[in-house]
Amino acid sequence: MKAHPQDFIPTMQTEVAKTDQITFMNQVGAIFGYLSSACLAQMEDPLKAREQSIAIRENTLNNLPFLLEEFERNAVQNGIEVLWAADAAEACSIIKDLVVKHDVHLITKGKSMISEEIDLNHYLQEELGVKIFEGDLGELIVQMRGIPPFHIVGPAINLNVQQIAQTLVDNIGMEYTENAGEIAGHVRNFLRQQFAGADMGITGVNVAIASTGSIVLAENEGNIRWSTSAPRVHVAIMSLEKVAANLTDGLHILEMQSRSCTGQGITSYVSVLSGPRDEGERDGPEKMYVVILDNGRSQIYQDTFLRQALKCIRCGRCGTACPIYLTAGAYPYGWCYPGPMGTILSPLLLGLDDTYHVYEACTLCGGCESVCPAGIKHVELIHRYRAMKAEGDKNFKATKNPALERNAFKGWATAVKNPVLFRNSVNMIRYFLGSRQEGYASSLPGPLKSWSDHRDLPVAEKTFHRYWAELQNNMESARREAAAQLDKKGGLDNE
Amino acid sequence: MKISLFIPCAVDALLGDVGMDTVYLLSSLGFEVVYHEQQTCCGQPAISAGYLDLARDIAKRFIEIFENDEVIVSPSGSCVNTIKNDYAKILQDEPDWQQRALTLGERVFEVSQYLVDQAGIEDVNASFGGRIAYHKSCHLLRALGIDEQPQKLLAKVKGAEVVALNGAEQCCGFGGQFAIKYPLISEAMVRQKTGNFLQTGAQRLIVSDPGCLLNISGYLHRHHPQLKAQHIVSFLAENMNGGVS
Repeated sequence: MKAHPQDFIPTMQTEVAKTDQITFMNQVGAIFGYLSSACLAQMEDPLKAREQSIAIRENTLNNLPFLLEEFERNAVQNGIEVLWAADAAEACSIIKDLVVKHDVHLITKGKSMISEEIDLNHYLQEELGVKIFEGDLGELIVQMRGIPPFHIVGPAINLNVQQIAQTLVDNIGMEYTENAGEIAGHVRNFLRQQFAGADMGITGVNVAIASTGSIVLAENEGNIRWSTSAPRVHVAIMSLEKVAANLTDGLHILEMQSRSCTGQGITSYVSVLSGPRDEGERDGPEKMYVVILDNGRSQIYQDTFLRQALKCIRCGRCGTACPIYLTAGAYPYGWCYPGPMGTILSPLLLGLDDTYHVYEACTLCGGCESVCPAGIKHVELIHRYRAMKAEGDKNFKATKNPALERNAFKGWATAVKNPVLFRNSVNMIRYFLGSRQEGYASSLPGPLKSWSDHRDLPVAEKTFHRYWAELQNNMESARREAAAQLDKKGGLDNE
Repeated sequence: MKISLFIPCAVDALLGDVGMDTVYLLSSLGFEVVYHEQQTCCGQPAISAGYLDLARDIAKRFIEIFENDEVIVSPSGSCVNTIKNDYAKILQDEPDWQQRALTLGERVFEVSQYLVDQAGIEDVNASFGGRIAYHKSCHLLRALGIDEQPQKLLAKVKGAEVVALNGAEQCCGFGGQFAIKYPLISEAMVRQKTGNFLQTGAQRLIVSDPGCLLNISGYLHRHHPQLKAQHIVSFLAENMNGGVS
């Protein structure tokens, strides 16, 4: 999909008006949160399992160039052709050449974020007019509707059954039904015809295994296995951080991904693919390609602090723990990575200026990092993005924040460092908050108006500072009073 | 035992009553409360907005004011987190200051954390006839790992029935500047939070951070004036000693 995070505000305004969607998504968040926690808790030692997945991802990042070379060497030995793409344009053009070279007319796809990242479907359709069908039920529905995926494993989770049924009536001639089983049956029949006729299958990669030169794919519907085994040619696209040293490491990542995301011990299908069809074999593609995409990741890799963003294993658990995502939905993020996954990845891949609202519209609640199986520290990354934006950053396309904002903060900081100025400022602000009823102000001035458009603001009668001073004075006068009483009494005694 | 009070700027400016309730609660429990009048703000807004150079100066000033105190207590998990965790990060290029931040951080506590973990107090001799629900403030829960402490204090309030709150650990939508910059998302979030509270049938929603209190009580006052959100120190102070306030 075309990235458009600049449209965050208008898109968000549309989305937050959908109160039913917000209610529904909060239920989804609660259910997935429960399933995931329960599924992780079933592990022999959940904490150790998480530490292990973090260690695996760190090991990958610490040895990334070597692991990628090892993967390439072994994959080539397995008969896989490995192609490197510096950016989205190069990846698209490589795949276009493969489509032409192999005389491909029909492509089926395994749902992959990476092909959304490079906007491959549109590119191939526009450039070559080739037919492409997504193989995942949800992804096929959003493809037909021409909308972006709403969730990494539930692309159509925000659509109701009527919308889904109508989409299928309009696009594949299904007879209208709201029966989920019948809908799935229709789609299955439709897709099987496509798989049978497809010349090329295009998939992503969940994990690439360096020591064996294999790629691993996880799914629940079986469509990816179709796309990787029925067509003549299989093209797998991976971003370069997806490699693991060996199968044990790779499968642990896969397990954590599955437990965290859908709350399954492991997905229904796991395919370990180590090359095209051998001579004499009946199944599998004649040719297999792996396209390794950089698209800005080597630059992230070079910064040892920012590098942790590449630990992400795309489970999507952060999304169902993110109140912003559950409220504003996926669309405002304006790219293939919704929720905190996008908050972490999009600014570094697209630049900090264009993605400003993606990392700014965050309460820093830490919900995401508390459930992240890769141990990404979202809050400190977001702090860093904001600091890079405040100061300006050439590498990640951040122009310095406007002088107006900087100066406002400078003025504020001056007051914070000067108690007298600070007290005066506090009193002035309290004055400008306007009239209060029952201890609440309900019509705030200037930029604070957006607060009182939606809620009141409690304003205590006095500042704490004043209360404290009065308490000290009271204690002082009480002491004096007591002392005076004592004097008086003493005086009487003396009489 | 002498306790130095760290009063966050939001409490000073808008929630002075919460500050006084903290003084009352701690004094009633036998602590001597001191308050450094030159304290202002911990600098969290600058850290959140990315102005780290400004935040560093503010952090150093804060450290100088408080570092001679034995124990520092605050009615805000969010601001305590700034001192305890963020200061050392923003001062990492100045090892001396970073060390001072870390040394100070060890002695700074959120009030329920101090009472339960340090002072061993769970029962403050409060009683309340009614149902209450507890909202788990984000920075308290996830940044400081404080979960049981406030709940232990509430559980010991005689007569109070603590009822479960759906999505108790989900952010209320405050987020400092966030509430001003993204009012529509913020409102939808606090609507969700108060909606869950309404479902509990409880009279009061107890929170532990001034930010959550501003947001939730402000929303309740506008839309559900019969219901009330209250800071845990205010709830305890109000209902201590059989309800003397």
